[in-house]
Amino acid sequence: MQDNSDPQINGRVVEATDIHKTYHTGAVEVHALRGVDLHVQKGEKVAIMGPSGCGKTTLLNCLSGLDDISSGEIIVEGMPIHTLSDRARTDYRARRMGFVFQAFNLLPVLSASENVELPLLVSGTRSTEARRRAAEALDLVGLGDQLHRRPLELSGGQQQRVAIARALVNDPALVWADEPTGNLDSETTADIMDLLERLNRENSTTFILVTHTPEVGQRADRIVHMRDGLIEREELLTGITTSS
Amino acid sequence: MENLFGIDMTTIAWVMSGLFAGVVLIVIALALKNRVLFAMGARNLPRRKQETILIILGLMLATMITSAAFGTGDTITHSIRTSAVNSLGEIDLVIQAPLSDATETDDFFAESQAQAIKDELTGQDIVESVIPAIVIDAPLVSPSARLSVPSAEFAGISPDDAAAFSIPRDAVTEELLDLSDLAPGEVYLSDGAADELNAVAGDRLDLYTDVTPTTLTVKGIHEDDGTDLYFALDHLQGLIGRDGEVNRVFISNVGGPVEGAEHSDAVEALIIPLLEGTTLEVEPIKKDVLEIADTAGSAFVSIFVLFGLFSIAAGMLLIFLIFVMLAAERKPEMGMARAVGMQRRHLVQTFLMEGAIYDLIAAAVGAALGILVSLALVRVMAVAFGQGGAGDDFMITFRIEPRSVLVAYTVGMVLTFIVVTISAWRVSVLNIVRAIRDLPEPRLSRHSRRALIFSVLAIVLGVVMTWHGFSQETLFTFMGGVSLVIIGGGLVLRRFGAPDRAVYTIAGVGLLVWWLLPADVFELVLPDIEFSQGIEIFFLSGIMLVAGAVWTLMYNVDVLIGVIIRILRSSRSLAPILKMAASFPLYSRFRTGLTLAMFALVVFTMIFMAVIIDVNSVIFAQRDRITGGADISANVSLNNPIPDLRTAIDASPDLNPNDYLRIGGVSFMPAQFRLADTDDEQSRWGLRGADDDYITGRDLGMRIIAEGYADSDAVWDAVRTTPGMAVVDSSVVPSRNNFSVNIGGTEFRLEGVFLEDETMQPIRVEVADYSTGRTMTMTVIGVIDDLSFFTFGMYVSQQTMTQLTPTAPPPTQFFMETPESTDDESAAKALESAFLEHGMQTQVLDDVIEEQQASNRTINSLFQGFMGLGLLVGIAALGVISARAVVERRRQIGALRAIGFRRGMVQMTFLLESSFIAMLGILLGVALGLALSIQVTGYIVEDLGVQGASFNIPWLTVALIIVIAYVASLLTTAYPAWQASRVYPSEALRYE
Repeated sequence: MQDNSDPQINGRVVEATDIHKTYHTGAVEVHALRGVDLHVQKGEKVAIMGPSGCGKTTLLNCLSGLDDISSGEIIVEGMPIHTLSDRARTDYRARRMGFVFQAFNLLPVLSASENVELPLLVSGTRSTEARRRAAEALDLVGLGDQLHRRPLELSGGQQQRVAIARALVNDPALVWADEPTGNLDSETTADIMDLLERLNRENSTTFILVTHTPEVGQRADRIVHMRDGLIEREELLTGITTSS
Repeated sequence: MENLFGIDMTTIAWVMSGLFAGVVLIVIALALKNRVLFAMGARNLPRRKQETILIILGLMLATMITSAAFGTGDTITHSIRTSAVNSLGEIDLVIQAPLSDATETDDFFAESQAQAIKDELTGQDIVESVIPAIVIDAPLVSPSARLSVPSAEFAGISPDDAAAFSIPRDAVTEELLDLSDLAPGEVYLSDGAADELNAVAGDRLDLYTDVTPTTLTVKGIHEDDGTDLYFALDHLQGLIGRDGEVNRVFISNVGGPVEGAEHSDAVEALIIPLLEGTTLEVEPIKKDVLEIADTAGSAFVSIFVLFGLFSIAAGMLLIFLIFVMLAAERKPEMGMARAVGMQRRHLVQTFLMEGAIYDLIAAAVGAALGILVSLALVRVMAVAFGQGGAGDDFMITFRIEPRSVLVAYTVGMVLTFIVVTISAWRVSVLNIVRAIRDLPEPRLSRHSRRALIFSVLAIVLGVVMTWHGFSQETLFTFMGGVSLVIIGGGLVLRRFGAPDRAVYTIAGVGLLVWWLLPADVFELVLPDIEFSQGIEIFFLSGIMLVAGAVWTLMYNVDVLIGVIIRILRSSRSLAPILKMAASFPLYSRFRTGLTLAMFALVVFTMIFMAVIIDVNSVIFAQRDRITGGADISANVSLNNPIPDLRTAIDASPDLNPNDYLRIGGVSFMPAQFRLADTDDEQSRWGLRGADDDYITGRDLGMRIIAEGYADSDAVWDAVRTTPGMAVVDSSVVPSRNNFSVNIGGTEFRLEGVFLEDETMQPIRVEVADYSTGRTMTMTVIGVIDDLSFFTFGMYVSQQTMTQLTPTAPPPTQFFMETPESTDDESAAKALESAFLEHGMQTQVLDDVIEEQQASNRTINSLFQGFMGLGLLVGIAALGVISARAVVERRRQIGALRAIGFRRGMVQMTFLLESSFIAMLGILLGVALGLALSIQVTGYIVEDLGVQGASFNIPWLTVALIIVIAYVASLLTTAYPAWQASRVYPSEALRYE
């Protein structure tokens, strides 16, 4: 039997099997994920879509190790991430993952350059090297002239570009983006998606996005549609649709 | 405690209660008018219970400090009052001849005269009883036990009067003892004296009212009431040869031992006409002592409140910070409230109502905790006074008046409410959209007209104050005025576009330079100005130095941080943590600056005190200046004096004459003093006649020497050889500074000379003898070194004293040196034993200095500890900031966790951030405290001419203060830091 957990063999960077996630809020149990199976190929752009409350963000958080799962199995780059300790998971995130959020979540006390430097410093890069690479990353996203501005001195689109630079500066295998264009106008949204597309193409970085916006979803390689904590169907943008 | 800073406490209580009632009524009226607003405010309390507790603790600190200060003051007042009431009992006034303190053989008057006064007063409804009596003190010796009471007080009272006064009482049964049971030569002995003499009923004792002792038999032992021996009046008159004479008339007013004193003025008014044409005087002794008690209590409170002002100021900053942060937390809610139609004043009202509820609880908690703190302070004081050798008669007993608690509570509540009102007004200024989206407000416009008006007003006020200080030679307004000009000038520069960093740096450094200018510069620039100053200058200097330093630091600390990060960047694991920990405080400049100021203010005062205490201890090392070279002092009874102690020692078989060298004697008589050729009222003070050996044998320096005299020796030589020449102790010389509190003592003051002067013109003083009425003009040609602990009064030669009064008393106080090889303790005890019959009491001067030093050290430590209470404020501020930061930065913590910050790193970031603020504040306080100490040490060295009192850093104390402050602040932030590390990234990132 072939060992499918080896990403070198099957090309899968994420393999999630029968993921369940239950929240306990007071006396009420909320089943946010009810048995999700998802596989993502290296270099693939996957969009997760669905109505509010269907479990998109929860799935993204669980897959990226930001949240624990109630049951199931998540293998990222051959690593059973759900079994790792908080410390090991955090270290893994620092080395191999990048994050982009709807609210940007930049640190207002740091300049654009410092925000981008931070993941490098966390993973032990020398500060001079971190500064150089941060400048390169910001240059890559078109903000080479805004290194010393604080987030509040930048527009929404510029802030999201800083967040993308921060997510990419470590050369991550995976970038998780939760509504990356949710706070942006349509023109800026298009710019940001162009950027993500270019970075995906040039660096073969795997992108997994959660979005409400059909235009954003349409720019992915594959759309995963969710409803009530389950994957309802998957849509390959080659036109093939599969139901779960 | 009857008054505070000169204002009657009852008045303060009424005014504060009125203000308190006003505040409460306003809040109630607002609540009734708009119940929804009240509900909004009130329901915030139980929302976050931990936060509510933290707020209440923060708000109560200022009240606690005030309440603690009042508790100590009340205790001092109560203790002195109790001591007075215990020693005086029912006696409220006394009629006596003015010489009663000194030559007791000459202060008798006819019993018939006393009886006439008694007859006149009997029947007055405010007078309870009038008792003619004889009161004398003399050495009392037990020949069998060879023990003595050097100065036993004995009283002769008629048996009927004694019964009316209910004295004396049996020591065991407490039943009234009848003086008519005493046969001639029989006495009742107090249990205290009986213990000292190891005597029991039936024993024989020798009383030295004269050179020849009178043998007495102890009939019984009575309860100690301040009188050691009771005689029947006629027996005592017979014993001392004063038939038909008395030397006191005691008057007891109606009412209890304390309440009776309230009638003293009225009774005194009744007595004064009866004494016309006699040499007798009436003294309301109980009322006087009670007033001294009140003055002492008020002085203590004033000192404690002044020293606590820094902590109270820090407490006010904390309250402001708490409410600004509360508002920041509720910003979206406030934005929503404004969006749905609430006016800005409604927001203010909501905060006021919520703040008032916090206040009411916090002030109560603060007042109660303050009582506990004062209880602890009083315990330390009891130790200090015990060491100070105040004797067993003075017992410190804790007491706090309900009125003081009321004032502490209302002052705390009203002050807090004012700060809440100001902060509510400040936080109500918000942009609705930005508030709802929880975005930061832009900085207040520097170009606003209000800012300009404020700046110009500060400059104008500053100029007026400076001019006032300059013309009135008042340092407080002079220094404060220039400071205001510096601050106002900076703000005007800002208004016209100067960058913040430049403005605040210039203003901050300006303040620092201004307040740390060496005294020499002032003397150089303003040579003719002699500024007067009080302890309040210390408070102002602290506030200004801290404000200047915090401004400078907050606008330049990024440079410092850059350097630190550059140094530590080689540590890769620390680099991201350091970056975050240093960035957060700089981002919130306002709250960081406030917290820095709180820490710096409190640590500043503690360090300053530590250095000054250290300088004080150097003063105590100036032994020869304190003692004038003497090792032992000895006092003998005036009733049985020793005309020539040298000869007496040489003749004593029990003493080694070689142990006692350079013996000098001083006699004492009370007299009336006033400046010559003036109509000033005469003031009672002490005249001391020094014999030649005292003048030549003691090495007492002069603080101020009159023109025409080369040095201290020349001054003393003139006193010895020229009749009418005198020197005085420094207590009657006024000072340009007002750093100390004088309680009791003479009201006589020299004019034309200040303690700060180096020379003086000779000053003529008229001295009047009570008994003869003769006057003599003395010429003061020197002021004795104020480090000389054992000199009190005006010193003239024996010859001069005899010129004033031919019946001048003989020397009763002696100072002597001992050879190195002699054990001072043994030599002193041997003297007491050899001259038992003369009531000799000795003191080893080194012991007295040591006791005084220990007592001073304890009191200083007490002040230091009290000021240290303010540290709680800074620590609480850090706790509040940290707890708030966890809530405020939840999403940022989530982001940090997402990009790879481990839990430990988040925790470390928070702890380092707090450490950064705490250490910066502490080091700032240390630096400023030391800087000001250099100045003040310079002043002490120059002012007192203390050799060796150079600026010296007490490293151990400084290190202890730093460690305690730092560790405590770290402990406070440990829990919020741990909470931050437990924030779950997925939840935090979802958090809205």
